Amino acid sequence: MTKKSNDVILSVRGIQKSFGKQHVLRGVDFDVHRGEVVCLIGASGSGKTSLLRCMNLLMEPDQGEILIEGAPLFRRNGRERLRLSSSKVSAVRIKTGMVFQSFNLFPHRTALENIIEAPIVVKKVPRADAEAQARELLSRMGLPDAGNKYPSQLSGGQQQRVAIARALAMQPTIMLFDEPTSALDPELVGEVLAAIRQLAAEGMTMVIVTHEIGFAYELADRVVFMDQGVIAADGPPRELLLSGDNARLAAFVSRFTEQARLLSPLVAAADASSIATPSKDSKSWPT
Amino acid sequence: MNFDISLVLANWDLLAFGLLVTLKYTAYTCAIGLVIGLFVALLQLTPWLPLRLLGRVWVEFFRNIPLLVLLLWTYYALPIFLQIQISKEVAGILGLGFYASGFYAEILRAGVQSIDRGQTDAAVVLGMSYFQRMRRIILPQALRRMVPPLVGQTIMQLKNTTLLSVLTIPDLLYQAGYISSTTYRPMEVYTVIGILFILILFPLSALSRRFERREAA
Repeated sequence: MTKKSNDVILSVRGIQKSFGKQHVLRGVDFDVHRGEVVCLIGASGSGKTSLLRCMNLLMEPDQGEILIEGAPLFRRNGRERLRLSSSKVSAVRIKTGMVFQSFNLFPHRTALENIIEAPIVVKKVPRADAEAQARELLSRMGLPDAGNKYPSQLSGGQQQRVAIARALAMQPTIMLFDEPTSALDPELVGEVLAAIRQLAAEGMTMVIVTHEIGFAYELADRVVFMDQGVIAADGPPRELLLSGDNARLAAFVSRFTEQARLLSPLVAAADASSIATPSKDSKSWPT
Repeated sequence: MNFDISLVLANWDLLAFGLLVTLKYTAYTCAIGLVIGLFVALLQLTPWLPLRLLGRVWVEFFRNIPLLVLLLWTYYALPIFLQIQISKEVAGILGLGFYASGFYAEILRAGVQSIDRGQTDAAVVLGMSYFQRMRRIILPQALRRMVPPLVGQTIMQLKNTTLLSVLTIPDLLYQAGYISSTTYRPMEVYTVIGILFILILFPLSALSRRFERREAA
């Protein structure tokens, strides 16, 4: 893909993080360029979610440096430490939009109120403008009629799409996704992946922690494999996922390819039937 | 057995006064308890350990001392320790108010802490400050959960005011004792005030129950 530019949006350097004796991040260097879609993969406990939460300082690293569009968000080198007021941190942090595994919508607010909350309270956008933007975002997420519904009245897939709209409402320059489909019923995964795919097509810069290897393979400009708190492999998905250079990565991927191989007769059968009956419009939104 | 309520009704003014005292002390001590309780709950919610410990000590002290002991100690022992004069009214209000604060503090703290951590994460990521997210995201959700236990504690508080009678504060129970000793009609008097307490408190607990059901729906 060629949409990647040399413009670095997010840069982390030498990130270290421990929980007690557990050293979850052991010196991670990582850059994201404008328009780039990076998928973070790795086994549970490899540090990928911790790394993502460090990127917008939701989790404070023990060591290292974080820059977002050149603005420092965190720096700590031994005892020397950059001191930022919480409003300064917040001003840099809101350049990132974040989507969580468990959605984390505000349950006492409707979908629309969830989306307009931060623009009104944090950015002081006039209510009418915020609502107009929210309605447009809901339409883009394929949920034009969900505005007045409470999160409990929406399916998991719908909630996650509202959560994406809520993050987009702050007009972030980079979106961070923390296993956005892991809490969903299997039949609802597709609609959320479709929404993310659409964002990628619009050129949004994204970092996605995911277990959907197929999705990473299809969508990512770059796949980063985390293992035991470090970046163990980093490259374009085709080269990275198909090469056997890194034994642990090969083992990690082989579980998915094994599954794909087992399912291949189904794929062949589905292909055969879709030739017989033309497939439905694949651009339409599942609901 | 001859249940004759006329002597009790003849003294209705004494009972009404007692009821007023009971309600007044309930209102005062609940207000004090809530204000101090909120402060102590906030202490316990800070990331700063010494403040958390201070809050913890306060809560454990007032939750584990029997109210009767606390009231008698405040009235009879505290003035000697501090070499000051404390009226029975002040002793009663302080004792009951501080006692309530320990329980209210725990309800408020637990209510806030029961809100999923992800709510804070989401609000932080959207750039909301501590006060913005407390006021707009955490507290509105927590308050709904707190209503039933807060009402329960307030019911307890009204019932606990009866202990003020040992400090000779003329609450409903004290007045009942007085009427009983002048009319020799304990059966009628104590029956009437028992029913009075139930009549006052039952609507409150029914209201709380209704609120709880509506929240669950």
